Amino acid sequence: FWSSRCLIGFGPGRFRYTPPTTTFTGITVKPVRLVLRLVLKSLDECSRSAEKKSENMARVLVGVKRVIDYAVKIRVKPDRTGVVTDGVKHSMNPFCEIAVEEAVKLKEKKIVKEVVAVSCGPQQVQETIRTALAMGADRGIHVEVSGKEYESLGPLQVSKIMAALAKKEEAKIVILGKQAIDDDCNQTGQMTAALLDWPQGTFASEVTVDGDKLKVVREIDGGLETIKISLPAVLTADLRLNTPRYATLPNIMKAKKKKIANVKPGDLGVDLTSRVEVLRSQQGATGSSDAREGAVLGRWTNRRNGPNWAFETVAFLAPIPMATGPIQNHDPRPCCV
Amino acid sequence: MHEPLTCLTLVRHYCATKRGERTHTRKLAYAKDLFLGKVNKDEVFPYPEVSREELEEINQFVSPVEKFFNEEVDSKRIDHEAKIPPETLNGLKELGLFGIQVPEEYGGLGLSNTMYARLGEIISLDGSIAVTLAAHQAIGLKGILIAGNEEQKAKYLPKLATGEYVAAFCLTEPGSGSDAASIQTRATLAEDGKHYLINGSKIWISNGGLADVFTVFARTDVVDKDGQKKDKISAFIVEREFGGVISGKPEDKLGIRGSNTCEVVFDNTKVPVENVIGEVGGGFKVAMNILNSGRFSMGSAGAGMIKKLIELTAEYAGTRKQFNKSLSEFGMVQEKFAVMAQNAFVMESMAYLTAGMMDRPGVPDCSLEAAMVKVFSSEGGWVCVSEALQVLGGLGYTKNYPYERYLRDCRILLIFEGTNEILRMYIALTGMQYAGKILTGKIKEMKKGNIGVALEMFGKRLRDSIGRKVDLGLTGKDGVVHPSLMGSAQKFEENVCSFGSTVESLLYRYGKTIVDEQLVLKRVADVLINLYAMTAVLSRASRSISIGLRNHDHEVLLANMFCSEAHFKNNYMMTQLQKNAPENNDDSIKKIAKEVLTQRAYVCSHPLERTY
Repeated sequence: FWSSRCLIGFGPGRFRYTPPTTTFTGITVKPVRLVLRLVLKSLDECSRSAEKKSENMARVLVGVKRVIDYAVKIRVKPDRTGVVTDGVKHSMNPFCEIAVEEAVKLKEKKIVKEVVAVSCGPQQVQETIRTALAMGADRGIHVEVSGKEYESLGPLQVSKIMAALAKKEEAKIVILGKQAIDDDCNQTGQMTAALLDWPQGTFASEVTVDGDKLKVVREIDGGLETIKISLPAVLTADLRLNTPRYATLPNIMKAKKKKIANVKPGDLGVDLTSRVEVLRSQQGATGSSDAREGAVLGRWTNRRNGPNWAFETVAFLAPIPMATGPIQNHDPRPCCV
Repeated sequence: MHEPLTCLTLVRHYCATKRGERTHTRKLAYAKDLFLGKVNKDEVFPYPEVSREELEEINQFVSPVEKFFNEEVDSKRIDHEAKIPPETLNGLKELGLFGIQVPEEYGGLGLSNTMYARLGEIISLDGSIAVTLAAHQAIGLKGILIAGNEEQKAKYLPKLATGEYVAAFCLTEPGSGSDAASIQTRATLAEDGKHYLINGSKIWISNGGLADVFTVFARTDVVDKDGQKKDKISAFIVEREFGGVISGKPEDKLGIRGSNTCEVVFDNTKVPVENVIGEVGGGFKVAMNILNSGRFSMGSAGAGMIKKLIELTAEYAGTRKQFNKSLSEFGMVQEKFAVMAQNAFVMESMAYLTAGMMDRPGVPDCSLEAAMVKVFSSEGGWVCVSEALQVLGGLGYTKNYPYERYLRDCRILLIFEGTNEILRMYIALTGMQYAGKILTGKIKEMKKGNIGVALEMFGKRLRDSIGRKVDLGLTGKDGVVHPSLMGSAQKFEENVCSFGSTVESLLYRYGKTIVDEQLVLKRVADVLINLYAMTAVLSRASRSISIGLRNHDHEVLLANMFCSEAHFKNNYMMTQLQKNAPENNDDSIKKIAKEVLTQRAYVCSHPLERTY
């Protein structure tokens, strides 16, 4: 009871409990003791709850996904089973970068103690985790998934993994990007929250801590919606949440010393069987040789060009070729497929 | 045309016996020995590799730098305003790009030459930024790094690595450009013996307006061992705070307009004696070492730029249609792309081969190789940018596209860091000097009566005339070159052999006066550059096939094409170098030039003139 927490506001030195004596005014010390005890108890509870709060806010789990870089032109594989990924430039999903940035900002504001970056996939995802470490995450977890299982890995499996890890790491906040730019699913955050039975703040464009709750401003079709959710919670980051920092080269060198733990999905008790089967991938019908191939692809436009930060969904579709006749001028119109 | 070739086994054997006499240090052994018709396979095969960790690390470094250059760097604006915006400069400093080669204990990244070359590929996307960074770290602070003592390093490197201080390199003066040894800036020792006073002016100083730390070269009075007073160059670290440092206004340049270039005048600048780099009087050597150590990165910078250009141009060639066909279907356009791809391939191969050699323990002296990389890359880059602009035609000529900016930025590459003419002379003369020493050694031996040597030489001549096939060990059973490159390797070996004999005959013909025969030396240098380039591509392609890198068959194609072209060009040049060769027009060239320069105008009468 008389721990060092009670140093606040009681004058120099520690408060010492002295045995009851009668004060010179004649009032017995007993009621004085009672009052003092109550005061100290409330103070103690205050500091304990503050500690609890900092214990509650201890850990943030951030999911990062390794996707094909936004600037790359996608090509469909000749056997139409998917998209060419071999030798193609990959990088961290832009929304995941925003998620990592938000987590690191929370750490810098001292609202959380530790940021853990998680990624699921083969050996190469370690590069993505390292980028997160270079941006300020404290340690990484690599969930090893490779081969066929990796190709069929979807939001359901990842959300099961994230839920299991959130429980295992006793995380109080899970931050994910709102969607990945390769599959545009926009499901993982929501599914994770459902599996954990936690509140969710999706499409977050502003997150503030309000006591032991989070105030989240969400970008919805009609405008902005503000909600208050209690912790623990799942957040998904939208475009305007923040501007991710560059991983500077000195930070990358420091990140080399940070640890990445390897975990298997089996250790987390997660079953990776997929309920989805990809039948066929195909590009838009190509007519003239100058038509640009491409599946539907969420394109991340240059965010730093002016105030019009927009997330476009652009499909390149060439006109269907005619059997005879002159070659028409190609006119790439954006349209949703 | 070319002499039938042979006999290198004899020369090799000879050199092997001679080797015991000179101390075999790891000095510059590869390119120099080509002058003797000898190939030091172990130096260049296999192609240098970096460890897996280093490769992962460098790939990690590449992404944020690329991202920064794609998003934050507005090259058009930098070129237009002739200034790099402070935010961009700060971003570069925060990224850590101001201290790439500064050791970690002084706050830098401590990266190797190979990693520096890799980052240079991305930094070269903007010419002004590339030159600003290079002037700061490749030459500005290099002096402190390679020749400074511990106190100087501890005092200056930390602030230079973070970019808090920017560095500049001050050697060139109005009267001394290529002739660096003739500088007139003076550093006089003050009476108290604690300071030097520097007086003089330097021009074309990159970062001259923004630098806080200058590496200045000035003449000092030195008393050498014999007690004689000599005037030698010394290197000093001068801070702007010492006072008396005046920067002129920035020069209005054709290209790299964002890089600050100006005149720097030193007016009684007080420099403490502790700030002398190396020894007093040893400045010229320091200067040459600094310049030699930074040159190789131009290869990878050029390659990076060409790769970017290929992407941009191919996009256009694939979509633009004329005569009902896309441009990419026309032969002449295809040729341009092949030339660009070939140049990028060769530049990369040479740059990373040189960087790999320089990173080997023992700090070998690769100044010759670095000079060759610089000459090839600057000229190759100029040609490729021009061709890329040509593909775009009128559009390429406008400021709406970056090609004209790349062209203007590229032109400086042939001029700074040693003009290509000077470097060709350096390449040729260094090699000739080395070959000459060996040759005079041989002749001395013969004069001493060493029959073995005389017989060797006679035997060599005999075999030369009989004509035997050349085998330098590159192909065949223990060959280091992959069988798919066998043809190219044989061409290379032939060239090396005939180069060795050509050099020997030139030395016999001219002796010491070869120094004045610039047109001859130019061809020698060109042949050597081609030979080194062939080595680099053969080595790289062999490795690619052996380890199965993606698209290695494309590399084989490029390597073979380059080698056959280079083989032909080399043979032609060596033919011109033969005695009284009819293909050699040097005498006519000299005569024409003399008449034009005497008149200081074009000499011929106008074609419409009449005589009556």
